[in-house]
Amino acid sequence: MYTLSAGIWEKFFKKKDYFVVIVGLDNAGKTTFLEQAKSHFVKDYGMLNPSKITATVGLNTGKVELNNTCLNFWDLGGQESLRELWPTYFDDANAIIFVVDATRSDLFPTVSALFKEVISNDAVQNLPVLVAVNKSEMEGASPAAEVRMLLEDENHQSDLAVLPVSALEGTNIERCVRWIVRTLASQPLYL
Amino acid sequence: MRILILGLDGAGKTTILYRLQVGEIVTTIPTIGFNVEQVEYKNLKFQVWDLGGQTSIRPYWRCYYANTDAIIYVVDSADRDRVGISKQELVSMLQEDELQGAVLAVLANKQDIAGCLTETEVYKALGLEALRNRTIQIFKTSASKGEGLDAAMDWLANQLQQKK
Repeated sequence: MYTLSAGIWEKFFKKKDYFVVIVGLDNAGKTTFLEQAKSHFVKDYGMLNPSKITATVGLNTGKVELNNTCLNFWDLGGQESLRELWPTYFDDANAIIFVVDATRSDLFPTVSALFKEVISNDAVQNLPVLVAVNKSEMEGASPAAEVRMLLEDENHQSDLAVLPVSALEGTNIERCVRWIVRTLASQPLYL
Repeated sequence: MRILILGLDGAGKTTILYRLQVGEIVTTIPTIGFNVEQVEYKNLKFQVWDLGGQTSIRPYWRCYYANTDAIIYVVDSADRDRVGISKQELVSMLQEDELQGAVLAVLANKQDIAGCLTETEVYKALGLEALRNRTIQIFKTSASKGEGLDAAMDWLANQLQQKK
């Protein structure tokens, strides 16, 4: 009886921990995205100066709590040599954020190939994926609809969303985080 | 701000400390005990502790863990044989409660030597993939040539400014 009631209590009241991996090409704005998410949802968080954020070679972490849900972000380096590190994180992830630089249409073929590679990962196929079309505030940025055309997701078994964002100005970042939380909450619960 | 420089013996910790402090190469001998210096970088004052890395004195690292804001972990990228030992030391160090909030900068040092480990190889060899709740950044450095240290200090200054 105790186990049962403890289980029910946990199901409804315990904060659920989820892991979200942020990937994308280098210089797409992954770290700035994470910093912006932290500054929106973590009280008294002093954001890193975006102009001083350098290329990530390693891991940035962040914890965001919202509606009884705790999202743990892993922001990974996007340089080519570092991409082989991603799959180990996918195995433990509950959701993926894929960041695209909307101003670099010259890189779109690479983005397309990379997205295909990410989404065909066995673990990712069953995870909700959010594509953040970053730098949307800049002149010459491609619209999200155009970026959507680059993304092949025929075999993907879970939710996919494509949202224009500005990690620098903070536009739509909150929406992205809420989408992730909502999508994760609507999934069947594993007790 | 309190920073520890740790790593196996001969990784280049003392050379890095004095590169940071006086900007020059100093002739070093194996550190038995520690060196501590005030380093000023971009208006931030750091108290940097360089602890001896020999096997027999590694157990004493723990005496210095309290109130540490950042760890600079130095790896000899050319020493493929001992990178496994370096990993063990790093892993057991990071399990300490006192270091849970510390930022980790890994310096893949001695990049001027041909055939050394790349950043990605160092990341894997040190088992950094298993550290899931800590901010980690790897830098390629050559303390003897003074390369990569500024990038590492810029990053640390930025991270620690935010913590302040």
